[in-house]
Amino acid sequence: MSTHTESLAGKRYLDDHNPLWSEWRLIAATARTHLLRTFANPIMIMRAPLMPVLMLVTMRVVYSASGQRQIDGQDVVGYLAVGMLATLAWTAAVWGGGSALQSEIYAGTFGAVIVAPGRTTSVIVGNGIGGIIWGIPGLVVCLAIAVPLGAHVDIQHPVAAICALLALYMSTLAIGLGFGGLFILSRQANAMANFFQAPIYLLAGFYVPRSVLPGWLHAISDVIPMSYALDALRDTTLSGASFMAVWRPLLATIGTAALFMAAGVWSLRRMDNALRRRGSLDLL
Amino acid sequence: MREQVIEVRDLRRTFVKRKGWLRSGESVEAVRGISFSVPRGTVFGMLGPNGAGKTTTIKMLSTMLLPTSGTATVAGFDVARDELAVRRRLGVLFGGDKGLYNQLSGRENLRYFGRLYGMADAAIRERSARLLDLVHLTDRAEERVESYSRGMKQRLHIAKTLLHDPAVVILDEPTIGLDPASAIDVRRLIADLVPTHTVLLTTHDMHEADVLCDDIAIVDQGQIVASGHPADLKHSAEVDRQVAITLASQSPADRTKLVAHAEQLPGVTRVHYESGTDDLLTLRCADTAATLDRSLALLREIEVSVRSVEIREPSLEDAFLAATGREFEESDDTTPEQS
Repeated sequence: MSTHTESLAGKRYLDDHNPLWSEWRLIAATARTHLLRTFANPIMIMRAPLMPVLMLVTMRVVYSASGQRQIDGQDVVGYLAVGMLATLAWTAAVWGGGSALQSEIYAGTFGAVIVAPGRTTSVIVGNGIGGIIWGIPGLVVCLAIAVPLGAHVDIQHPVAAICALLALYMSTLAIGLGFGGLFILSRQANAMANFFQAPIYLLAGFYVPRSVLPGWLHAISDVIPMSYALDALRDTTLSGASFMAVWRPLLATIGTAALFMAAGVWSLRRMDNALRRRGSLDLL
Repeated sequence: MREQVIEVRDLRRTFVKRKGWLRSGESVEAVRGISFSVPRGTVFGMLGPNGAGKTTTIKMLSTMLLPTSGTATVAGFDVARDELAVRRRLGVLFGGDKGLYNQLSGRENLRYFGRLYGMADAAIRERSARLLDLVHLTDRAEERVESYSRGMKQRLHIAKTLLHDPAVVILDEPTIGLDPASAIDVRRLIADLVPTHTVLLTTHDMHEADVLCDDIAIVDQGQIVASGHPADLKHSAEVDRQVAITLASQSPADRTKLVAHAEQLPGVTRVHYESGTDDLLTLRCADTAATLDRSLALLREIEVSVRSVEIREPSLEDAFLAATGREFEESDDTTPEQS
C-alpha cells in the first residue's frame, strides 16, 4: 500500500506554468465550492428568491404609504428594483466575499486554507462571485415581480446597461476584498457586516436617492464605489442613457473600487503577518 | 550524510495572554529553544503531554505562526521568510475534527484543496482517485463529509494532506479521538509514507511514537528533554527489565524455597513474589531473554507449573519519567489561551 514511487519536493503535481491562470482557476473553484456549500442548505435555497421579493414589496408599500410616485424622476418600482439588485450584489460582497474567511473559520477550514499556497484574495473574490451567482435567481424573480408592479424599464443602450451592471458587481467585489482583512483582524465579521449594512443602503442610494442626504454625508457617499455604479445602472436601465452619458460615474466607480481593492490587498497582507505574529490564526 | 529536510535551531515562541483592554498581559514561553533536524525519508516524532509545546512548534513549521526567535527551515526554505515556498512543499494535518467542508463530498473536498495547491485538473483527478482508494474511501467518495465517521474523516484528512504529493508531511496528533481500529488504519497509512516522504509527527501516544518513529524528541514544558532512536531512549531510561511469571498457587514452604532458588539465578537483581488465586513471580534483571530461559528451567526442575509469562521492557513512558522526573500524565497544560 505505497502512495507512489517518488516525491519531487511537492512540485510534481503543481501547475507552475501560468500563475495567473492558476489563480483564476482557484477563484472559479472557490465560487463553485461556495455555491455547493450554500446549495446544501435548504433554508438558503428557499430564502434566495424570497428575500429580494419581500424587500422589494415592503419598500414599495412604504413609498405608496408616503404617496410618492417617483424618485429622482424615475418610477418608484424601477428605482427600487435596481436598488434591490444592488442589495443582492452587496449581500454577495459582504456575506460572500468579506465574510469568506470568517465562514472558513465557522467551517473549521481556515487553517487548512491559510497553509495552502493559494492566495487569500482569490478565495475572497471567488466567494464573492459565488455569492453573486447565488443571487441571480433572486434577481430574476425580483425583476419578474417588478414589471407587473409598474416598473418602467427603458434600456436604449444594452451595452451601456451591461457595463453599468458589471461595474456594480466589480465595485461590490472590491468592497468585499476591502473588508475581508478588516473583518478577520477584528475577528467580528458578522457584527461588522451587520453594522455596515444600513449605512451603506442609505449612503450608496439603494432605496433613497443620494440627493436627499445632507451635504456632509456626501463626502462619505462619494467614496463608495457602488454609489456611482448605481447611478449609472439606473440611468441606463430606467432612463435609456447611453454609454457616453454614464462614462463619468463608471470611471468614478473604477477609481473608487481600485482604492478598495488596494486597501483589501494591503489589509490581507497585514492580516497574514499580524495573525502569524500574534499567533491567533488557530484562535479564530 | 543524509540530507536534513527539516532543520530547527533554537526555536522560541512567546505568547502574551491578554487580560483585558487596560491590563497588560502575562508572557508565556510556549517553546523554549527547541533544536532538531529530520533526515529525508524518515519519521520524526515529537512526543509530549498536552501543552508541552508540540503544536506550537508544528504551527511555526507550517507557517501559521512566526517564531519569536530562532530559525527553522523546511526543504531548505525559511518558515518565516519564504512561507509560500514552504507551503508548496508541505502537507499539514491538524489534529481534531476540523479542516474539511462538511457540506461537500469527500471527492469535492479533494478537488477544492487541489485547486488551493495549484494543481491541474488531470492531476487532481488522478491523485484523488488514487488517494481515496488508498484510504479506503472510494465507495463513499460522493457522500457528504458530514455523514462520515471520525475515522473516515481522519482518513480523508490524510488524503487531503498528501494530495499535492508534498515532500514533507506534518501530522499533528493524527490518531487523537479515533477508535482503536481506525487508529491502527491511520498508523498503517503513516508507516507507508516513508521513505518517499519525510514525516514530522506529534503525538502523546507512547505506543504510536514507538512503532512509527525513526527518531523521537521528548518535549516537556517547551523544551526537548531527551531525543534519539526509541530503543536508545528506552535503554537510557535505566529502568530494570522484568520477567513476570504467573504460577499455580504454591504452599508457603514451596514459595520460600522457590524464592531462594530464584535469587540464586545469575543476572537476577531482585525477586518479588505475590500470592493469590495464581501466584506471580517477578524477577528484575538486565537480560530478560537469559533470565527467562534460566527461570523456566528452574521451574521445570522443581516441578512448578507455569500459567503465563510476560517480559516487561522499559517503555517510552519510563524514558519520559527518567528525563523529566515525573509521570507523563502529570504535566501541566501551558498552552496559552489568548495571545
